[in-house]
Amino acid sequence: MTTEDDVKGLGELSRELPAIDLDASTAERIARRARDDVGKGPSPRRFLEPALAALIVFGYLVWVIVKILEALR
Amino acid sequence: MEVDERAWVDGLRRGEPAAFDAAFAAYRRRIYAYLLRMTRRKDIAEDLLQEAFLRLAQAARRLAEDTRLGPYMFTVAHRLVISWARAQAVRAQLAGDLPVREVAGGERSPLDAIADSQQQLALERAFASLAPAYREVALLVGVEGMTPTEVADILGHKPEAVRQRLARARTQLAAALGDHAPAAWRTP
Repeated sequence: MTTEDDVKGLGELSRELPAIDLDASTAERIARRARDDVGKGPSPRRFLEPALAALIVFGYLVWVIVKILEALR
Repeated sequence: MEVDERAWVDGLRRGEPAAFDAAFAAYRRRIYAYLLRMTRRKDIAEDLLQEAFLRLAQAARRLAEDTRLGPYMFTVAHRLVISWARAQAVRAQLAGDLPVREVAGGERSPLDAIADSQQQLALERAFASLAPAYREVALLVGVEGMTPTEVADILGHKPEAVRQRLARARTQLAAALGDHAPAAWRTP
């Protein structure tokens, strides 16, 4: 059986599947929520966690280097 | 690319809410149906739909001029489903390998409620019985009318891998549907 047979058969079956949709109020809520963000870019909060983690790791590294230098003196 | 869609992409790149509304109206049903059939949970499908359109809204100004919204939205939705499935797997492991809110065989799935007839119910259940990787390919090719190459781009696989999944999906669907399978699939 060829891929074309697979595609054709799936097309036939899929036409029989019931239509699926959201209820209007849920759709409107989702649209409203997303519409407010159009063109704004990702929220700055998205970058807060990695920035904090990087700061902590960097601070720890500085502390380790300082301690090593103290021990070598 | 269709004229409407090009206008929506241009509008989105300018940050116009009206362009977003048009894209939302055009794609919300298709993306929601895909998400519901992949997750089999209404609440999760709604959350992922919201996340998919939030990502479109937030990426609006960075869209390429030649962006095709259909493949773009299905790529985002596919990635969201993968992340959700991974989180489910981790939760299941933490809970001692118990399945987390998986729709069990005897439990009524939200898709059962949508079916108008026994035939539709049998068909929904046949699709639902496919392994997610096969179900996804079957839905994108069958319901969305995409070619295996377009599906491969969305999933990040080679077209040959998609064709193999398609063949396995067909075998399993034919077995599940028996006499209701398309005539071309039935072995003589």
